[in-house]
Amino acid sequence: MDQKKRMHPMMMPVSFFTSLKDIFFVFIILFVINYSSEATWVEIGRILFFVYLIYKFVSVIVTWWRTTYTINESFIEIEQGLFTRKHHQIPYDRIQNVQTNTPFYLRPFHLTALTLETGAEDEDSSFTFTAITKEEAKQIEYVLDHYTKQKSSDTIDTNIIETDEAQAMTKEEKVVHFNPTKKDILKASVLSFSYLLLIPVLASLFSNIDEVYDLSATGNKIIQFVKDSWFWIGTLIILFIIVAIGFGIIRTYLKYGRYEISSDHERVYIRKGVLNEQHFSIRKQNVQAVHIEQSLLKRMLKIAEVKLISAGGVDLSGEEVNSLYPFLPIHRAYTIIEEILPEFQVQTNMESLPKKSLVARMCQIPVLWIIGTIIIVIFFPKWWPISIILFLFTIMSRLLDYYFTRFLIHGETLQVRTGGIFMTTSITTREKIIELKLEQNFIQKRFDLANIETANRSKPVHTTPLYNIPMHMTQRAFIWYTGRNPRIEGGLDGE
Amino acid sequence: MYKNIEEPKRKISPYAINVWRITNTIGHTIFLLILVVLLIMDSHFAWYSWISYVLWGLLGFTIISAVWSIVFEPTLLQKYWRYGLNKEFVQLKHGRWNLAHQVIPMTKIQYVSLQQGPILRKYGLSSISIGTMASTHEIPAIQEDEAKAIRNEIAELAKVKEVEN
Repeated sequence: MDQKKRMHPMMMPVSFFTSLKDIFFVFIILFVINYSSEATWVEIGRILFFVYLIYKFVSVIVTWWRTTYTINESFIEIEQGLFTRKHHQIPYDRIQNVQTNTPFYLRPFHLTALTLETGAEDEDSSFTFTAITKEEAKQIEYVLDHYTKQKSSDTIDTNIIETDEAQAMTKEEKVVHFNPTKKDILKASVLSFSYLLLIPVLASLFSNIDEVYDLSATGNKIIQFVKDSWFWIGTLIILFIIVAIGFGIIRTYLKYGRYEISSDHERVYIRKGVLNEQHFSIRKQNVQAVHIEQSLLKRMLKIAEVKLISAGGVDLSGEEVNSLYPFLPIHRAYTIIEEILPEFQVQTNMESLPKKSLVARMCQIPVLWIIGTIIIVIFFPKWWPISIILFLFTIMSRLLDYYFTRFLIHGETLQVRTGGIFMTTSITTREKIIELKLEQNFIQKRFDLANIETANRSKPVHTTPLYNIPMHMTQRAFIWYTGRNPRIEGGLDGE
Repeated sequence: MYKNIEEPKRKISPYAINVWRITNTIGHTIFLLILVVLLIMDSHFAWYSWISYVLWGLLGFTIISAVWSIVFEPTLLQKYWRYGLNKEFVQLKHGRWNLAHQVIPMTKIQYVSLQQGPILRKYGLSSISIGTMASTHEIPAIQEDEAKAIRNEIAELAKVKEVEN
């Protein structure tokens, strides 16, 4: 197992074509828009373009040739670089998340891209195998899993030998929790507003073609024609709506269609994507808090998004992947959390806030409104009605926030709901909170109110503030938190 | 008020008042000097009129702020600053009109360090920084030997790690 390996040769075309994608725009400018131009800068640009292509071609081959990795017993070693060799070791116990991403062009070759994420902050915090065989990826995942399993049985369960077997038993059982039905995808496509994306896509297409062929003249004729007949306008609009909806459904299907949430003893697994298949997993013990998010529209359709706030970065090429599924039916959301992470079970009997909390909210100085009004008065005096709208909006959001804010301490969990138009329910446990802060200003003192803020480990730090809640609630939170009774590493005789 | 845990009782050094007075005086003097230079340049080069309004406004504001933060604020801050530590928690509490009370479990502390600038050194004081995975907290101005003792105590207690699961 200890020999040096290279990635699959397919890595070369893959990296080559991804870099082509980055300079596609330059290609359009040089060869399409300025198709017949003979200006000097175009000529030079074309030469530079070819030089770059050749450079890229060579560098891709060299990079592939000079990048090797070795799978060791407790770490993966990666060597990179042509002249200065860079040795980079990733110890297995630092790896927080493993993700595989199979774009459609890798699938016919039985290849996949594998990313190892560590919790570190620097640029070396993650490493991606751009193209390796699926068997190899499985092998790496297996080695990792095996290592963590062995380690956990080494450190925690030294005196209980049977648990190892029991663990191995439960490991096999991967339970599937959620596959979206057709109805779910329909609802999702309504909510994801993908169809609105058609407008910029069409607009950019039109303007692109317009630069090459003069479309606007013909366009004007078409518009003139359309103006003449109402029938055609109606048909066009209906046609557009149908195309937009179809586009939205297809796009949503491609993104959320073959979605699967499953879990075993140790991890939560998510698979998504139809053309580009993505797999990733989150270690259950890394989950610091659970969020249930609902916009006004989602509330009306009884849909919610569940997010797992996890220690260590969960980030796949900029896309947010801490979300379980953005369009879960609300009752399913609750049961899924209960199935996957029983310690974060959602309670429904939350406490609302007393009237004085609303009064205190209203007493707060509306900073945003004041600044907004000043800007409007100075620069855009004609737009004064906006100030009134802004004021009403401020009042509205305070009212809504008051009506929807809830608080609950239940056993080990703290459950807090905030927000008016975008409502967020946040659930965390006593052991996962790393700081608790109480704040009270002199106005709140009058009303016997206070703010509390909890902090959870994540990247960036995850804080949950709760404003203007009655003092007795904050005191309860304090007593609850200071009564924490964590399990200590190495037993209780640590002193 | 809090049944499970004692309120923090330990106070910071009374010399903290002097330290804050000195640092705030220095800070405000520098800012005032910059403002005065800008005002002189303003009258010389005849900048836009709104700039001079802003500058005069800032000048007035700085003077009020100087009176507050040199004369009154240090005494009040020192009077109401409390900290406390036991085997399980560090607590920081300060402010009267704007009260803030922080609880940090020992096991979540990542590092403690002492800091001492020239003014603190003059009074034989140190400040303690306590870093968790979320943020850094400071206990300002404690007697140097006491600060060292506290640092060692926290470092010793923070060694204990929770089982993460």
